[in-house]
Amino acid sequence: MTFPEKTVAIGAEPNDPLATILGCDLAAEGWNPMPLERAEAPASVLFTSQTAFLGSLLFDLPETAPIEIVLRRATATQSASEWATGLHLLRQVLRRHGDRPITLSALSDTAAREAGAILQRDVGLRSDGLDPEIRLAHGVIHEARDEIVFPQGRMQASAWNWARLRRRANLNVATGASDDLHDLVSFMNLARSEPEPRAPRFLFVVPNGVGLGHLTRMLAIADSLRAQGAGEVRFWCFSQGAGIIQAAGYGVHYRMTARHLQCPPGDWHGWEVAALQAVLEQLRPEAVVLDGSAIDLAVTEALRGTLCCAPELIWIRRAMWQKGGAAEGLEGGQFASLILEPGDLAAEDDTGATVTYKPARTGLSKFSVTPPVTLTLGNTPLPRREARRALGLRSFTRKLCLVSLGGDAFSRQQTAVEQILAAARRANVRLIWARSPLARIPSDLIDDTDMLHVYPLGRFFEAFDGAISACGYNSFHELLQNTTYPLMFVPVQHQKLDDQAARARYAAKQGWADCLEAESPQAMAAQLDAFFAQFKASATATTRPRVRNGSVEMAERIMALVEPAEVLA
Amino acid sequence: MLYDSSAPSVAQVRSRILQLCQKGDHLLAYAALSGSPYDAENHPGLWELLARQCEAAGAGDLARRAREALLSAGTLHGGQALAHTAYLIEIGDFVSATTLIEAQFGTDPQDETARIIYGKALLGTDPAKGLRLLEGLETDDLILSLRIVDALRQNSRFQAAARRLADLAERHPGEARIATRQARVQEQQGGWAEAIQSWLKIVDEIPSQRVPGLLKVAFLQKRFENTENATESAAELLTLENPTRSASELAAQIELLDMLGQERAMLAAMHRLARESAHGTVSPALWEQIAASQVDAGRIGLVDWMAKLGLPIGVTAHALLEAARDYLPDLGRAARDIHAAAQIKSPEILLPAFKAMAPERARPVSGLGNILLVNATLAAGGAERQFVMLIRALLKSGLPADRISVALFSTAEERGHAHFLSELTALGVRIHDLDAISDTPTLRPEVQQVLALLPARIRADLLPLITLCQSERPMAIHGWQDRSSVAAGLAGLLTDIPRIVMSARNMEPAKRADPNLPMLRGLYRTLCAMPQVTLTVNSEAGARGYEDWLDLGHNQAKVIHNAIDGAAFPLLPQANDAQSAPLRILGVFRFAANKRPELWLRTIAALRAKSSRPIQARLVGSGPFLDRIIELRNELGLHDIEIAQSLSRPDEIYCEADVLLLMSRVEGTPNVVIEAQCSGLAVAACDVGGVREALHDDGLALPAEIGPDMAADQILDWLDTRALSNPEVRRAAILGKYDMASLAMLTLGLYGVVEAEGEEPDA
Repeated sequence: MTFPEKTVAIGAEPNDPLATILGCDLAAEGWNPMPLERAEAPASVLFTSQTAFLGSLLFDLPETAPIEIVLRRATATQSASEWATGLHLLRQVLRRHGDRPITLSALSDTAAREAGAILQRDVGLRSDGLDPEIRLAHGVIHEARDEIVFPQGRMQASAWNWARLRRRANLNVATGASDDLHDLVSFMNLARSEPEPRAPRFLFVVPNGVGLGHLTRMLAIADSLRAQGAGEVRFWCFSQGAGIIQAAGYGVHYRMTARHLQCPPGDWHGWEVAALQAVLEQLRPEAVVLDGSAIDLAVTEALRGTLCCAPELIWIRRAMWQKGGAAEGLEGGQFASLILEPGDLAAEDDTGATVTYKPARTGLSKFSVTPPVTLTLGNTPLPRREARRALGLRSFTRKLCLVSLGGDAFSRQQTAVEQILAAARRANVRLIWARSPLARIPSDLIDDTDMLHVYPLGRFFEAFDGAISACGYNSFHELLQNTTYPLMFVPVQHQKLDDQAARARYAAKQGWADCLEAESPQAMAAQLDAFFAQFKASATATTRPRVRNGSVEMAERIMALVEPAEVLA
Repeated sequence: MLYDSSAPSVAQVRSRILQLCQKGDHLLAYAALSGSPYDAENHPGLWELLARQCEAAGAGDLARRAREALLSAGTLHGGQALAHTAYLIEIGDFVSATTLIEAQFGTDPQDETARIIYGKALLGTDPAKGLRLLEGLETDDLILSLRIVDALRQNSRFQAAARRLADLAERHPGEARIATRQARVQEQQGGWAEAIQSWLKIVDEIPSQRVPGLLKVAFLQKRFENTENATESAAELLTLENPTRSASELAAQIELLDMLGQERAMLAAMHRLARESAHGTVSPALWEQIAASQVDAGRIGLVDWMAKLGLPIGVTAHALLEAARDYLPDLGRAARDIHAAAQIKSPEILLPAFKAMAPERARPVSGLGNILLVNATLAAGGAERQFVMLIRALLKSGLPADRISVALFSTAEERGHAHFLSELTALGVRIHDLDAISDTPTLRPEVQQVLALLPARIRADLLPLITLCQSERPMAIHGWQDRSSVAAGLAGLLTDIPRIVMSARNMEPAKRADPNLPMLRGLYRTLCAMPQVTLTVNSEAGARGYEDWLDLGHNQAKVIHNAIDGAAFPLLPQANDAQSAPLRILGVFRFAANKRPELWLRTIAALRAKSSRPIQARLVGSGPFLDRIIELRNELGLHDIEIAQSLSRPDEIYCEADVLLLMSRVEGTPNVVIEAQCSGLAVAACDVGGVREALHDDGLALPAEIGPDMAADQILDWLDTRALSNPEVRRAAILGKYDMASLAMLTLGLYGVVEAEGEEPDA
């Protein structure tokens, strides 16, 4: 990637909303904005407040670059006298820097006039030549509550970086707000210059899931985005399946969680924010897309970074959460512009928090459900013969049953594994065990020749005469939609996983598949015997649903969001 | 010890030591003695010999080791004990030094050298006693002389310190340690203008003192409310050419921003410093320094923020944070937001802990206990005068003197804190100087933990007051003015005193520029909600102002007016109304910015220019603006205006005057207005604070914001109509409103004395 030659160093107080706005504008104008402390020999220096400038005097200023200081009026934590004293101090400092090219600007006429009177210097207006712009959302900011209220929902005032907020909303200020907030909001409501159009870039954040569900879904969406003309799609990946993403041709930043690193969460958070911000500053993506049951606060904090421009945050949030599980993660909705839920064929029986819990703050997030999302690219089922050849399955004397119970299934589901092995022996069915790329614990029960190490599995489905599978989102939807042979789901109950039991029972209720959920070993054996009996009869399911892949629709919605903002006039 | 024929004899070892020392092999000599069978307990002579030889040859470390062997063996005596004490003083271990020398020479050493060394040790442990031993000493030892100066300063004996410094300055010209102390002494004596000049000279002449000098100049100029000069000095400090960026320089710059109220700029600088720390470019000592000053300022959240970033804030700050853990709110993600962290402050975080200590209802009182009254000082001010007046009124109402104790944070005469001390002493009440109480109070560990987290200023006030409360066990404690009220309230709460009275003496606390006031607000509010606590204010306007500031209900702040002793303020001779007679205008106020002395002088100048009648003027008061007042007086050609300082007798103050003129920007209940009217004077004053409430009907309330010309016009109009008539009526009205008996009865009621004993307090 090439950087613009003109670097502008930005000096700002931490979390100053104006810094994100001006940083974004400068980038749109072709500058390369950099934080002051990292900018080497910048062409110019911009301080977004006089306090940022005064604070920077403890450090060496870039030697010759012209400086602009945006003069701000008093904030909520500043008294009028503190503000005035700050300007008196600035006046004295400017007098001592008499030979430096320093220009002064302000966000409003009042600010320019009041500050100019103390400084006894001309103060320009940053808003000169900008007209008000009417945007879709209209909110009222309440400074004391640190909250913005929109007709469609409330959000913390700092939930979004304000360069991003400016793309969507006009704000009014509730009574009692500070002078600075009035100026800031007036300035934010003005139109801005749009950057040159380009193919949108994305950063996908993959959490460290128990299985490969998040990763697989995100690959599917990334593939669809690429197909629809997206530019670079890069992954910020906590999953140990990062190699799979790399193999699929995407750039990956492999990350470790605090737990993996065994470090204090606070320390980890700080490193994570800094590292993510550095990537956001460099990539300047149009959106960050995150899949998970919660939005990590390191992501939201990084997105508020001064020089990240205005990336949208899109939350891919699967449903079918376990009943009664923790719901507070849903409060993260206020951080997202768009919440996309990959549809679930068992949605009718969903009793989890995504259906029952109403978050207090939803902000400007839009919610949408798409058809189920499955991985298609490189995962189109091969014809039976080809699939078997590819897998090296040459024996046709016995029926073949795929068994895919998820990572570390052998340690977690010992009883089920033993019962399946026994039943298969009785039915003379050969079991082919799919081993998750994330599985760490081998099993003594399984002959290694019957073990498959492939990803993705979908393209080999036709190699088998039936399948026994865990009931995670991807397995469930891929198997149901791509097979007609006998299926049995073995739900895995794990506190971090979705409600696999509800999903499996729903499939059984619809007659789409069996659900192995017997209370005793005898009952389980009977259920398995009945299941394997269908192999001999070469039973074929005819009622399984066939819906289009939601990854395409998701990609369409994401691309629509990152198009230039919807502006009324 | 058994005789060992193979071992060298004592004489042989002695010879060996001498031989090796003569060759300069002191380490081998030490090894030879250590390896011999002759230990320090049984053969101290050998060890002393070694110590002396090493000392003489400059091998101080080996000499110290030899003396330590003697000390451990209990055989360190005489000269070697003195030498070791000197070493302990050198490393700052004054407690061990004092103990050692007292063990060897007693507490009144007759040996001259021992006496000096003992004095040096005492300067670190008991400066007053150390001074008694050393004050008359003529010495060329600069370090000792400076330590004596420091002890004199510590004991508020600034004149003696200044004399000694002047003498030292002659002998050691250009010595930074002397010059900086001279400037500090000037400041401590209230000579701010002089101190500023001294610091400016230091800044110019002593490069190593440029940073602390500029910081001091800016600080003093700010106290003078001279924003222009303060910011000019601050700008110089912030834009030093060729800065070293040393830890002390950066710490000074951060302190400067904080001092000027530029918290956001300070936070921006700290945030960047923290980022640069990650690259190892910031000295760990800096963070320790910053953490210590932020702890003192009560910014616990900010220190926690530093700790969470892994910055090296030092063991003390970490221990404090550990203690604070129960009181720090869980900020979640905001914990890393420096602005959110900076909002978490002590004492606010401690308020729930104080609330939990409050009793459900006020304890009944027997009415027979003692009363403890607390004020900061007895400086020459109206509030201090009323403090003494309250005690006078209580005594007059029949409360015996032995039931009244008075606690003062300072009675230092040379700081101007003892203006009313002789008057108070004459009343026969017990007087405690809290500055002299060094015993720490006995407190439960959880209470100690809470107190450790208080801002330094509040903690310093509170600890000796608690100690005093624990020994006095009063039935009521009464704090006077904001600082003392909060300290008295907390001390009363923590020592379970049944009645607590807090008396505010000001107006519009929300608008006052006092940077310490916001820190007191939460404590005030918390205390006011407690059943044993009463807040009083001395005017209606003041009471409403405090109720607004503290979100209290209407009338929750009780009004108890000031009192005036009519006998002490007799009606003075009538004014001469004749147009040819001069009109005599008096100003009585502290020479400080909020009294607007410049406006007062310019108004007099305008009156002279506009009045057909001759105008005479006189100023009574003292304060840091004295030099500027004299300068402006001369500049305006008002050379004849007499400026009288340190008058305290009413007849001296209010004599030969017709009108009192007060041009203050800020006032509480202005005693001078009450006193002047009681003496028969007419009063014209700017309408601020409680002025209007204190003015008799015929007084002139000038607009708060007014220029000298307009003020002069209004005063002349007023004088033409009604001002100088009816001094008797004026006096009678004032005496009726500001009555001593009412002050005493209302106050005794709050203590529970009247309530417990019926209408008649015990005699």
